[in-house]
Amino acid sequence: MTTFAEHRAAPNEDAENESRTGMPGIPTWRGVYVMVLVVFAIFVVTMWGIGFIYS
Amino acid sequence: MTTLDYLVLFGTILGIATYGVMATRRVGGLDTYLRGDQRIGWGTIGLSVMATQASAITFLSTPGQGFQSGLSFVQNYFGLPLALIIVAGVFLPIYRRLKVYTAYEYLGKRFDGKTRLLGAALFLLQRGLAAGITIYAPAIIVSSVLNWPLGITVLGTGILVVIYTVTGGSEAVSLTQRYQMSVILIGMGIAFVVVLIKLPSDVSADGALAVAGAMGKLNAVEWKFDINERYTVWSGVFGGLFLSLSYFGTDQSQVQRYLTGRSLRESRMGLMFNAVLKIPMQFFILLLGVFVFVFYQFERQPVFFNEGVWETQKSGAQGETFAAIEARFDDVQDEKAVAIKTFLSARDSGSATAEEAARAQMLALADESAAIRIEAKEALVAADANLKASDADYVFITFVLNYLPKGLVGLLVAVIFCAALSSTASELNALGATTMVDFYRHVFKPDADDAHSLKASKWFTAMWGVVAICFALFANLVSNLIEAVNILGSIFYGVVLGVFLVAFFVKWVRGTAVFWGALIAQALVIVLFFQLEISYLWFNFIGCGLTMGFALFIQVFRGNREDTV
Repeated sequence: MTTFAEHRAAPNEDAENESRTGMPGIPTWRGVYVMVLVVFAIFVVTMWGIGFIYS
Repeated sequence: MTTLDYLVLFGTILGIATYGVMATRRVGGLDTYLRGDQRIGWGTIGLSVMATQASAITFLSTPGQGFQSGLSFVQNYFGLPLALIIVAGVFLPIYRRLKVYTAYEYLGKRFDGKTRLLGAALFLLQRGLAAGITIYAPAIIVSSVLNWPLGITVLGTGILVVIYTVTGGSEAVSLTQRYQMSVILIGMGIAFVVVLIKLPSDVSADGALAVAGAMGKLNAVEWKFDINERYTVWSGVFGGLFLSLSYFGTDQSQVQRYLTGRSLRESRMGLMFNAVLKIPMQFFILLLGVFVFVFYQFERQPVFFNEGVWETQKSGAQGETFAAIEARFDDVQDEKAVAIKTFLSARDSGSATAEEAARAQMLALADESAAIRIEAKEALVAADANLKASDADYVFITFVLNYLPKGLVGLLVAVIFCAALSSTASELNALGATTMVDFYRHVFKPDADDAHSLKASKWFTAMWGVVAICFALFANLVSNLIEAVNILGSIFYGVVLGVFLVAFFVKWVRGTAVFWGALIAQALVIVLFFQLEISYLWFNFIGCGLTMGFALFIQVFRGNREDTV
């Protein structure tokens, strides 16, 4: 059996790519994830706002 | 449909399928066939993941859902962004690092062979049935409204998708999905513009939204916490997170799409593409349905949108009853159109009192109209108990066939077939890959070389294609089949997700514990399904929780004992 820890330690050819996003202004993946959640929150508020204005 | 529509329809779907076959006719080997040599860019992955999830029924049903219930269904997707972030951050790097072909291969590496086979078997069972439904569901609607033979529609769709999926494998699926999804987005965008143009000249988009809002169609977000309410922010975020995590993280039809990425970055970007765009896309498709609703406030609306069924009953033994219902409905619709115009004039005049009075009259007529539609559906069921009382799936296709210009009708029917082909292709590709990798090569032919495995993959993909077509051809023999397949999926999905969550997040649990935990949990879920009167969606939560709980308990009971596999 191979353990979970051994899997995590397996050779990682993606290591270089994992560390950078290649997106201008958002260099880390954590930044991308936060941006996605912020965009989601903006959508929710906008959709709620449309319903509120036209109710 | 005119000759031009048929040219657009067949030109689009056959053109894309031919391109898929030609562009991938030189399949290099097993890796190319199953993972497209991992050279696909993020844009194609993003569209491919989106196309896999969006089946034809999405584009037929979602506008109908908007027409009937407004925008609230969009909350169903509120858990999706967070789920895709978890898949991109946790699931995907491990799948790539271990160079797996299937998600269940990972279970074999993390746990043992029996857990891998359990995960793969549960996937084949539910997805194998779903592939038939993906072909059958749109075919029954399109063949009904266009008077096409159902069998020919099913066979045509099925054979076409089998040809390019078997010949080109995963790369052909991704490439064709890129263009199919582009056609879908362009087609739906055009339909959106057309419905706005078709509104009466004195009704602006703002006026249309005011009418929709007054009739309660724009309530996209419901903050109230009510477990009995089907769509709220909370059920969307929590329930949607769970379902999306299960679907995107453990279902091979999705996993295979993002494993084709040329790097981790490309795969992650493809997932983030969906995390950002999926909700707006669903919102606009629902809004399209809402505008179709407003459009039908001023145009003659069928009392029942499956007009073939309605006309059959109208010309039958109880024809007078149906004609009387229809006449009353038409009268109320005419009165309502006048009341809506009065409401809009009052709104423009700035008089709050006049606006409130007009609104009250408009809503009273809307209630009356809705009541007659319910009466019509009850009359249909009373006349023939086998008839389906819901007509939501027929709303959008009825609008398309009756009001879109020549050529665009063909494009919109092509949208439906593109969606059917793209989601079926992913399913067949995943079913073939799982059968070959997790069963054939793992159990029966461990020493098979790549050439043999490639040939076997093609045969297994073709075999699942034949199974799906046969299932679709005979699906109408079983009543409520679609719901039965959805229920079956919910019974198994939770257990599979539970196994994966233990694999990723509970390091000290081993194969034997999770295998028996999953089996016990699965048996309990099936027993509970027959005992509890709750929505079947809850069995996703129950299955996952029970699997994780039992796996942890059994591991604690067994202590630190090594597994023997």
